[in-house]
Amino acid sequence: MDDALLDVVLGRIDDDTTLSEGATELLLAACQSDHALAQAVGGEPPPRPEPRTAEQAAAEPVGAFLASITAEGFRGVGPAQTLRLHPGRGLTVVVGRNGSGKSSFAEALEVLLTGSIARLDGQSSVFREGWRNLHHPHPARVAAELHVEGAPGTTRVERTWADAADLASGTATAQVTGEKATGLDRLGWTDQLTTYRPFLAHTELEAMLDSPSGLYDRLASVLGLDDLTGAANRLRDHRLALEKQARSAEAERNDLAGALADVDDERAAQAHAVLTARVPDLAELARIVTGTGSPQAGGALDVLRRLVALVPPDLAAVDRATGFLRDAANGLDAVAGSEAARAKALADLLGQAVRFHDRHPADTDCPVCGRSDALDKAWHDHATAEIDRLRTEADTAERAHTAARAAVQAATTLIRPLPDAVAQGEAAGIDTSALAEAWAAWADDPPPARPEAPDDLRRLADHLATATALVDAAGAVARAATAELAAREDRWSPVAKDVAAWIDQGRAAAHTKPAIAELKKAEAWLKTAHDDIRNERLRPIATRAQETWRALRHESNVDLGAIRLSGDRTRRRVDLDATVDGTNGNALGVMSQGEVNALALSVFLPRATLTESPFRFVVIDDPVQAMDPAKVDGLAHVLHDTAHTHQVVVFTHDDRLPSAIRRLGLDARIVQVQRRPGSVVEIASVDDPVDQALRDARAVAATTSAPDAVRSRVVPGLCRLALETALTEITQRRQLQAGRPHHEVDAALDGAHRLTEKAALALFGDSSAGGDVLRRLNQIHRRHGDTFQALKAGAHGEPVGSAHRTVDATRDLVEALRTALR
Amino acid sequence: MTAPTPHVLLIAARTALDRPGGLGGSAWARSTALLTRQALEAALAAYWSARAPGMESCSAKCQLLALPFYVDDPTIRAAHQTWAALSNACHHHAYDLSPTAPELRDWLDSTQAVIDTLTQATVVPRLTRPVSLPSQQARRQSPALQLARRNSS
Repeated sequence: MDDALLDVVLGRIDDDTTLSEGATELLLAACQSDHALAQAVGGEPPPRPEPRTAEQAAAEPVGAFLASITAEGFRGVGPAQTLRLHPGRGLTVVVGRNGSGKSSFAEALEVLLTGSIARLDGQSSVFREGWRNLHHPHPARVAAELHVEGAPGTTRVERTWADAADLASGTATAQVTGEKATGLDRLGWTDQLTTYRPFLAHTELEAMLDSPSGLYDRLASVLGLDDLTGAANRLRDHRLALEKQARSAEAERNDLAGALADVDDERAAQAHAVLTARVPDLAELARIVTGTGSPQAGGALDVLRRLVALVPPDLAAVDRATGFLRDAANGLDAVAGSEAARAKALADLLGQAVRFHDRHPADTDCPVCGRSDALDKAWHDHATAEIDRLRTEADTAERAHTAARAAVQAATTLIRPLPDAVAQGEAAGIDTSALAEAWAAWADDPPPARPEAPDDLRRLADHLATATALVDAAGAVARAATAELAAREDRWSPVAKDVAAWIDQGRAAAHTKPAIAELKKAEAWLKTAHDDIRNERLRPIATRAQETWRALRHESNVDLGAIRLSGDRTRRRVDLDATVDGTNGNALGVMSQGEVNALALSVFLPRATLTESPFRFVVIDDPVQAMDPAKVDGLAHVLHDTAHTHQVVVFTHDDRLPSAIRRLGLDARIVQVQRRPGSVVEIASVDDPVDQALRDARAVAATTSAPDAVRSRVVPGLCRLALETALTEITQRRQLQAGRPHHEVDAALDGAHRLTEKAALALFGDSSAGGDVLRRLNQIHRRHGDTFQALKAGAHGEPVGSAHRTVDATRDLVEALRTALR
Repeated sequence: MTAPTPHVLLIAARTALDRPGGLGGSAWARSTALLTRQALEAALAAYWSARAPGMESCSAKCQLLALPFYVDDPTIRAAHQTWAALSNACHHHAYDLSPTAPELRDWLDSTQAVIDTLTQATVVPRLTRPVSLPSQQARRQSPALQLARRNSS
């Protein structure tokens, strides 16, 4: 964005406390670029631009003055001819009869710089193709010399046409500070030529107010609000894109919800519920789609998954367990009737008796029954053997019981209760009744298994063995569940993919809602700012247009009030607040063509002469047509006024403007263009301010009836005025040619009060070099030094008799200076 | 018969403008312009006969050219233009329209200002610097701007 405009926007943002942070970021990004705005919308705003320093803000663009326009083989001009112009402020009127070729120079400059001629746009081809000169069609060439601030030397611009080329296909070159390049880009004027268009042809004058939008465009372009409009468009485009995105996400959400409703799947139902919520929980949706969420307990999916994972009794383990049980039963049978405890106790008792007898061999009587000599060797041997037998019997019984307990334990652990999933089979549409029954029969009611009863063990073994039927049923259920799961997966996965794909979109759309709201805020703010800035910037132009109109209107009863730009896009228009005899009315409706032209000129001049424009010149072709004489006087004033700050070149076909200028005593250069047969165009300078002053001086000198005292005071005074005017012209031309900024040149001229200072400025570019002025003038010719001295002395100088000689000498001095300082 | 004074002529001009009476067509406008011009020229003559006798018999153009070198005042700088406009209005040109009332009032006002300045300068002869550059100084107070202000008021 244009820096000055950005400063205004930044200032307004600072002053406005109601604008949200988000909207501010978007606004500033929109002022920069599409990319920046996209970043800001994405939550990563680019750094804020800094306002300009006061120094940067004060800088003026470099200005250009016209030094000459050349045409060859173009329109009315046959052999090459050059219109030389004073490259500085001032008014130049180029007079020539219709067909003299004067307008050819205006159009030569226009086509040279812009590549086309506005007058011919929309004309029939008869007009468009007649741009070559009939007498001298080849070569066709237009050129101009300009003095551009900051570019020392003359800037030369040229456009040439090949023999068969049409107007639009000329080749342009620009030579700036000695370097020549094709194309005019390096002049950097492409946009400014449209914005501050320094040309105004009569046809344009008439067309300017034709359409409200056309006038709007001309005025709006000069206000430099394009960047603001661009930023507004950026915001709007972004918002529209986001809204479109949100709408399409919403539409797809509806489609998806519809599709989900048709899918018979618990996940589809869940996703449907999430999707149809006012604000969908996208994280939840993601969990549903990726299957990372826990399925609803007892839900079909949950049941199916558990059925698939169903662990039926391990038949091998069952086999082993029944084996154990049967072996244990046989073991128990084998020790049936033996009592391990009694056998063990008896073995212990006998052991003690044997140990007692070993320790007391003499005691042979039985201490228990008292029978004598019962404890002998035979008893001892028998008892020892009995102890062994009893101990073995006790161990065997013990082992059989232990084995029976272990076998029962092992068998019992094998029996698992009916898994929940089997009971819930119906929820998943799987018939598990057979399995459930078998499982229940197997698990719920095993026969009692007392570990000491071999028959119990055998019955338990028999019961366990019935697991085969159970395993078969479980296998069938698991297969059915697997198939069902697969079927559901087939239905779910395509729609799950869609949902997954939508999640990103939904996430983006969820993000767009606040962004859209902020964008809307930024847009509304910018619209208000745009309208305010538009009228702020228009105000000085409108004021000057009013002044110009008042100078031009004379007897018109239409007064021009405020000029406002309103509306935008197709409804853009210019409101001209006009009063007719003090009554509000539609100005354009009641105005004559001459008045409309004057009004158009009132709008054109302020626009073309803004300080922001790089063009210090305006070229107006035939503004006098349709104007009544009083307006011509007003026009002369307006043009003369504009010439205080700008180089104004006016082409006119009749003598009314020059004669008004002469009559009103306004200083202007008047150039005459004449065309001889064969399109040979001749240009002659008819009048300029130096001539005017000299002419006045000669008139006073010739008035012999005037008292000598008056003549000897006035004639040198007017001659001195002529010399000062010439010195000022020379200074302007040379300094601007050297690329010095025009305001510096003006300041230097304003600062040189004394004649010697002015001469030093013209001769050396330095007003303090006055000491060298006389020496330099004498170098040119001794008498010029004398003339200069005489004019400096003014009234105290020459006697009256030489009044005419004073004028002649001044004319010679001026010519010599102009030649020497070309 | 003593020549009428500038002030008397100016009053007559105003009367012709404000109360045209029997003057029909464009006659009232031309008589106003004529009387105003006469007032201006009478003021010039009065000034010169006091300041540089003999000058009053020169052409009005010559008198006006010399005047800025004797009286340094913004009203004097505009005098030449007013006189040129009045002269133009006095002569009937085939294609010219007669001046309008607001224009005539402008000229009357600026002539009044010139007459006042000249009367002042005659009573207290000013020793002005001989060379003041009329056209350059006039730039600072541009005629069109003055005109615009007058028209807007």
